[in-house]
Amino acid sequence: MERLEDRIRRLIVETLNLEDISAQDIDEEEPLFGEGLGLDSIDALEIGIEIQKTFGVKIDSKDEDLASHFSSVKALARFVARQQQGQVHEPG
Amino acid sequence: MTENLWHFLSTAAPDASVATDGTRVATAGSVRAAALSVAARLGAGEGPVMLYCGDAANFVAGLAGALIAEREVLLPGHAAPDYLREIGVANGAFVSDIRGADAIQVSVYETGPGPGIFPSSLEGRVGFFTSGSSGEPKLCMKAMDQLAAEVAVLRRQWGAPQGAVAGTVSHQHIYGLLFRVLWPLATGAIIFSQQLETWEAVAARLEPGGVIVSSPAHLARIPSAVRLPHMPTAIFSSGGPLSLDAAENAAAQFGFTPIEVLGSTETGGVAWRRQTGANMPWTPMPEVEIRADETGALVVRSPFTGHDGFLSMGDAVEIADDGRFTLRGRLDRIVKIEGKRVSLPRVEEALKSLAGIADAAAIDLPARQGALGAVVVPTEEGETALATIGPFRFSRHLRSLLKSRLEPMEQPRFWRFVPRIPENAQGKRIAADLRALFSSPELPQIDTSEIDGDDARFELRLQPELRWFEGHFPGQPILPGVAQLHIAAVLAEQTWGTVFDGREMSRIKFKRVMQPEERVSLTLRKDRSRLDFKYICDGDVVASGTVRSSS
Repeated sequence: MERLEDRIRRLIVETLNLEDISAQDIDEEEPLFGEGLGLDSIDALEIGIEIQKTFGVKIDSKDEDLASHFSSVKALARFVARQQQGQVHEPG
Repeated sequence: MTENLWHFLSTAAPDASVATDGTRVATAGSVRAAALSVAARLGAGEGPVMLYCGDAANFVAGLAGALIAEREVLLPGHAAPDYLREIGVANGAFVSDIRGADAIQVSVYETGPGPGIFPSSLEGRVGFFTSGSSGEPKLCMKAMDQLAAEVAVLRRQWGAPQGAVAGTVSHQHIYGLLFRVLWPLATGAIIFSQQLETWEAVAARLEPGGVIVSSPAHLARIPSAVRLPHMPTAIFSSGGPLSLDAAENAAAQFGFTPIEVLGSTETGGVAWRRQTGANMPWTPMPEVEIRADETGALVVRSPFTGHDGFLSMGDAVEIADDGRFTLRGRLDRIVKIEGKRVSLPRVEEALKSLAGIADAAAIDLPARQGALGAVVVPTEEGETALATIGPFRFSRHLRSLLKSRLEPMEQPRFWRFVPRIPENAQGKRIAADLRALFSSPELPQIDTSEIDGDDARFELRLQPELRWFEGHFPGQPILPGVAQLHIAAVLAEQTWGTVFDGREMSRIKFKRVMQPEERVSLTLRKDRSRLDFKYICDGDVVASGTVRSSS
């Protein structure tokens, strides 16, 4: 089974069609936006859509911690894992 | 006016010099005799005559001959066989000095003066093949009257050349034809008939008082060791924009700031300038009327256009009170990126203003949903950054620097770092060539390879931009079986030089799919005409088989 962090790194590279960089080249702790990987707000939109599609999780645009969920691969993995767990316990 | 073009040739003494190729002299008598010979062999046939000559003196005889025969003349831009087929040379008469070509041969240096009357005036039409920015040849017809009117203006503006006229550009295009051939021909100056490819050759051939007809492609690449034996009376540049750097460098090295001529095949010459400083405005040529149309584009009316109205140049223009003008970028280089209008020159200006970038081109990429691409030549400083943080992070760093100047859609999404921006022979950037830099790769990224006799092993990364993943399948991309065979065969061919075309295959097994970003090792074993391949992922064989070469 692929680690969630690895799946997310792959998702970022595939979704954004990133060239000249492979999934392994993205450090799990490295900031995704600004200095670091250098992704921008449009990239964030696309990653958000793909994360919801792939993992069946919901992203609440009013969530005040949204920026921190997207800050790194590790943070995203944590966010996805928590959301998925939350859904298992939800009735229906 | 047309009479002027041919007056010298038709009236000069038979032994008067018209041209030289450096060792031999073409006299008026031999050019006239060669022209009459071409005319006789062409006869009054139907349809246009294609004319291609490597030597400008042969070209003059071919052109005059075709016009004497009252045939329309088309000038192919070059003589590559596929290109000649594309523009239809096979369908009509072909006049050429290419030895062995299936053509009516013309050779002035091997023709002596002969009998026959050379007309004092020649009318007719000449067609040029221009390369539009899409790169496809486009035909543009000119009457000899228009060309003669333009030569009259060259004469008015710059007089007659005082020495031989030598050129680094081809006379098969309008600029080379006017400046290298018709202007000296009309004024009785000597035509240096070979196109000079290098500055060393120019230096070896330049005569006192000589004129050099060159292009931005050549002027931007003057070897630092080249010195001219004499100061030329003029150096011309046309066909594309000459950078200020190149103009200043030519001035420093040759003692003459090139005269840059603005024009196009359709409009003919429009204006000229000498870049002795930044932002030098253009001065319209005599008889040329310029104006800005309602979209701000430069429009031109002159006796050279063959058109009563104004023709658009496609450049944004700013006209000063004294009639001189400044260009503000191509208007047709505005593209739609995700529905928003983006000016490519504006993006290029912003890119070039960054510290790590020496030169840049921006291009829209229809094959990538119309995204914006940047082709960048890094400075030395940029090279260092590129090597340190890698192309992706460097491109994103550059993109973040553009944020303060450009809107999101104007910021390039895909980047290519190159030693120089591709240009065609006329120094023009062709959209198709720029886009080709972004076409998707067919081969996976090779991390390591070991070759041991007939055995080879490659560690591969299946990067997502591989062409094979496109549309196969949407949302669930996998590497198709045919691609696995193709990759194995191409790597085998690169390793051993044997072509395995896969017409015969056996024991092909695809055990599980391979996805983007997977790392796989590919082992190849060659046994004469047989190639065994195996893709291994995490210790499991995921695909294997045998293909044979056709030999």
